[in-house]
Amino acid sequence: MEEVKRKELTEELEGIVGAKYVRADDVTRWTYAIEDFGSSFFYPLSARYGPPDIVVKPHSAKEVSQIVKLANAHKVPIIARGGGSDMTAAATPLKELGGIILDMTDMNQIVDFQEGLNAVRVQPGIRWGELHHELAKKGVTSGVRGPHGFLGGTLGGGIGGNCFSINSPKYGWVNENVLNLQVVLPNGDIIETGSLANTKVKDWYYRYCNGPDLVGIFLGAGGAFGVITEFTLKTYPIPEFSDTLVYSFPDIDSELRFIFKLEWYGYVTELWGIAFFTLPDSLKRIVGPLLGERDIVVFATEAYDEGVFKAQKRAIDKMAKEFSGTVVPLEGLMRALGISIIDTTEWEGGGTFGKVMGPNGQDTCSIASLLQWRKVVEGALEVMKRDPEALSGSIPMIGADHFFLFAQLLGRGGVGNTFAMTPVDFSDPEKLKKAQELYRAIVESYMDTGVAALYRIGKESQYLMKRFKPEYISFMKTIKKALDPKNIMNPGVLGLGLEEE
Amino acid sequence: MRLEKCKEEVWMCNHCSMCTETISDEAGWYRTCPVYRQLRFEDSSARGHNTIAFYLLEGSLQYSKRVADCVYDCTTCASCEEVCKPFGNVVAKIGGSDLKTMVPPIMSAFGAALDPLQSVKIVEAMRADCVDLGLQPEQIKKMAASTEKNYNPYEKPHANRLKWAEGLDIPQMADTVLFVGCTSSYRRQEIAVSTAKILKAAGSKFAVLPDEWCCGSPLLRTGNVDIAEKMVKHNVDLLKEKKVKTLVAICAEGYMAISRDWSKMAGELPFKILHISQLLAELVSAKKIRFKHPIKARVTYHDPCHLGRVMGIYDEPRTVLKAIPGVRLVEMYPTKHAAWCCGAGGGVKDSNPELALDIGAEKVPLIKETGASILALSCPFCKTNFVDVIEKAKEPIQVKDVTELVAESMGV
Repeated sequence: MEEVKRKELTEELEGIVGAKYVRADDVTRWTYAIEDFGSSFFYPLSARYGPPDIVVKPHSAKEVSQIVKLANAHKVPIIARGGGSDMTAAATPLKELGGIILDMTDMNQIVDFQEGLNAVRVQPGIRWGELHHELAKKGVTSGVRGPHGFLGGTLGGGIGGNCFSINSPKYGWVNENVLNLQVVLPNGDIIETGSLANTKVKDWYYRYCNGPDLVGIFLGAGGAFGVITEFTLKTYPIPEFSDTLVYSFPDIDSELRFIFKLEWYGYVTELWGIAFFTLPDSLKRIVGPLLGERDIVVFATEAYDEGVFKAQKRAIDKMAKEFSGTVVPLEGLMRALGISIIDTTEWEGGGTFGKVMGPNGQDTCSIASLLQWRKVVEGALEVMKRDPEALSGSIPMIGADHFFLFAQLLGRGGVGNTFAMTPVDFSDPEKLKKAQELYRAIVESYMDTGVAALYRIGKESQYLMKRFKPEYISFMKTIKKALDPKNIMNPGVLGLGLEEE
Repeated sequence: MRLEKCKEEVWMCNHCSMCTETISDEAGWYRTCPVYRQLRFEDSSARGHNTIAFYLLEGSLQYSKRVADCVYDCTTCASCEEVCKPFGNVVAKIGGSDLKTMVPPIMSAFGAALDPLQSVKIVEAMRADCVDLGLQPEQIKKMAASTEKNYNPYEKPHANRLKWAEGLDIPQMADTVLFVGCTSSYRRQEIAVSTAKILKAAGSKFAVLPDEWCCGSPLLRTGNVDIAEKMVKHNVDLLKEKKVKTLVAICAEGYMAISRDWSKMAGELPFKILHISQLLAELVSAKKIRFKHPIKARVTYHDPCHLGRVMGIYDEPRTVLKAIPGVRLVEMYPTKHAAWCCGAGGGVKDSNPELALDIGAEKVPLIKETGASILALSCPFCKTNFVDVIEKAKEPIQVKDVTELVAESMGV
C-alpha cells in the first residue's frame, strides 16, 4: 500500500477506534506476519505472505462495522485475527495484497451467562483459559477446551479456524457447540443468526429454528464471509467422576477398532494413542523393552454418577479385552500424582513443542477415518522415508533423530487425527527446501487416500482446492461473490477472494 | 549482530501465544505477560519480541528506534519463560512451584533438557545490539554512563556508597561479605540498615566493602554488556583479593546476577552465594533471631521475578515472615511461579516509568483482595516501584522489605 493511502486510512481508522488502537509502523506490522507452528516452517521463508498495512483493535461490533465499510470503500482487505496461532496462515496477509488486520483480542468479554441456560455468550477475542476460569466459578464447563494456541488461543480463532478440541470425543468439534452468531457482513451490516434473528428474542439461544442453518457458512470460514463479533457456545455440567486409563494392544488394527468402539459407545472424553510402528528408532529402543512393542492408548473416561462411572469402567475393560487389550497400570500413579490426561495437554504450549520436539513443520495435521488410519499413516511414512536426512532436525528432549507420528481421537464419527512431527533444520536452506517438499508430498499422500482431509483451511488450502468438485467450488464462489463482491474479506482463504471484481 | 547467537532459540518459538496471555486454574496462571496486559499489541509480548527477532535475523526488519522502544518495554519478568517450560504446567499441577524448581536440574542430570524458550535472553541480545547501534533509550544511556563513571546507576558519588553504614560499626573484612547493591546503598538505605542491624544482633560476623561496584545486573538486562563485564570483573577480583568465603546479596537483582551471570564473565567463583532471605531463614531456624515485638498484621508477599521465577527462591522469605510473631501471611493469586511482576524490572522503571507504574498498579487489587495491610517483598527495586504505586493509588498498604519487618520485630 502506498504511504499516502496508508496515512489516510490510518487517520480514518483512528477516527473510528481512537489513535491508541491503530498502528501502522513497520515493527508492529511485522509482528502480525506470522502465526503458529507451521508458520515458522513456511511463511517467513515464503514469498507468499507478508505483514498487514495497518493493525487496528476494535472494541465493538459497531466499530467493526465502520471499519469494514471503510475497507469496502477503499477496497482494502480485512483480516480478523484472534490469538494468532492458526497453522495455515488464516490470519496472515498475502504479501501482494496486505490489508488491515483486526486484532480482536480486546473484544474479550463474556456477554451473557445465565443459570438455567445451557449456553454462554462471548466476544470472539476471549481466550479459552479465561472462559474456563469464569465458567468454573459457576460450576460449568464449555466442554470443548480449545485448539492449538492452547489456553492462550481465542475462541474466535477456534471457530473461524474450524478447530477440534482435545476433548472433542465427548463434546464434539468446537463448531458443533456454537449456537448463535453475531456477524458483521462485508457491507457493514450486523446480523444475528438462529433464534436471535427474531426481534422478540433476547436471551434464548438456539441454532436451528429459522429454516436453513446460516450459522454454518461462517464457521471454519476464516473470516471469508464476515467478521464474527459475538457468539453463543453450549455449556455442560462438570463431570464429578473422572479417571485416566491406559491399555496396550498387540497391533495397530486392534487398537484402532477399540478406539472406534470406545468413542461410538460414548465412553471417552479425551484420548491419545501411540502406534509403535510409527516411532523413530530412538524411541522404539525406549518404549519397546518397557511395553513389549505394543500399541498404547491413554484416555480419560468421565461420568456424573458414581454407579454409572464404575459400570462404565467395567464395560471399557471388557471392551479392551475383546480386542486383546491389556491394562497398563498407570491409573493409580496418575491418581496419586493428582493428574489426569483430562485438562493437561492443552496446558502445555510452545515450549513443550518447540523445545522438546525442536523446530518443526508439523502442519501435516489432518483428519482421517479412524478405522483406515493405518493406511493414511503408512502412506505418509513411506514419503518420509524417501529422504530421512531432510527431516533429521533435532528433538532435544527425547533424543529422537527424525519424525514420528501420533494418533489422536478427534471426535464423534470415528475421526482420528494424524500429525507428523517433522523436524527441520533452518540453518541449512537446501535441507529446509527438501523438508518443505517432503511436507507437501506427505499432505498429498494423505489426501490421495480418499479417507483423509485437512480440517483447517486458512490460506494453505491448495491441497483441498484441487480435489474439490468444480460444482462445489462454483457454489462457494457464488456465495462469496454475493456477500463480498469486492473481495475484501480475508482474500486467499480457501482460495476465495482472489478474483478481480 | 549479537542476536545471531540466539538464532536457534528464535527458531524454536512455536508462536503458540501462551506467553502472551495464559489463564490456567489448574497450573495457577492468571495471565502472563505484564507488558502485553498494558500495551495490548503483539509487539509488546514475548511472542512479538521473538517475531521481531525472527525478522531481524531474516532481514525483513532492521534495527530502529521503534525496535528499541519495543524491546526496552520488557520487564524481563520471565513469566513468558515460566509458562513455556516443557510440561511445566503438569509439573505445577503435581507439585506447585517447588516441584517446578526441582525438576529441571534433576532432568539435566539425566541429560534431558527441560529449558523453556529463552525469550528474555533473546530480548537482552536485541538490547545489546541496540546499545551497539546507539539506539538504547536516553534514560538507559544515562544509567549506563553513570554506572561506568560512578559504579552505580544513580549518578551518586562512589564515595557515598557506604554512607548508610555510618555509625553502625561494620568491619570491612570478614569471611562473609554483604553485597549491598546500588539500590540499597543509595535509594533504599533502610533495607541495608535493617539487614546490618539484624545480622549484628544475631551475632553474625560480616563485612561490607566500600569498593563494591554495581553488580552489573541493570547493565546486563539493558544490553550494556561491555560495561557490565567491567563491573563484574572488578567485583570478582575484589572479592577474591579479600578471600571472601560467603557473599550475601541483599537484593534479588544482585543475587541473580552474581549467581547466574558473574561466572559467565569471570570464571568460577570461589565463594558461596546466598540471598539475604536464605541467610535469614537459616538464622531463624538456628534460633539466632530473637523476635521481641509482635507485628499483628495480615501480610502478603510479592515474589520478585528475578528471585522467584529466575532463581527459584519462593520459600525462604515466606519462612522468615511466618516466623515473625503476629504476622498472618496470606497469599495473592496468582503467586510464586505465576506471580505478577512489579513493573520495574529490565530497566523499565528508567526507560518507561509510567509503564512501570501502570504494571504495578494492576497488582493493587490482588493485594487488596488478600486483606493485607502490609506488602512484604525482598527486593529493593520492587519496593521502590511499589512505594510509588501505592502512593499513587492512595491505598492504606505499607510496603516493607522482609528485612525491615524482621528488624522491627527484633526491636533493632
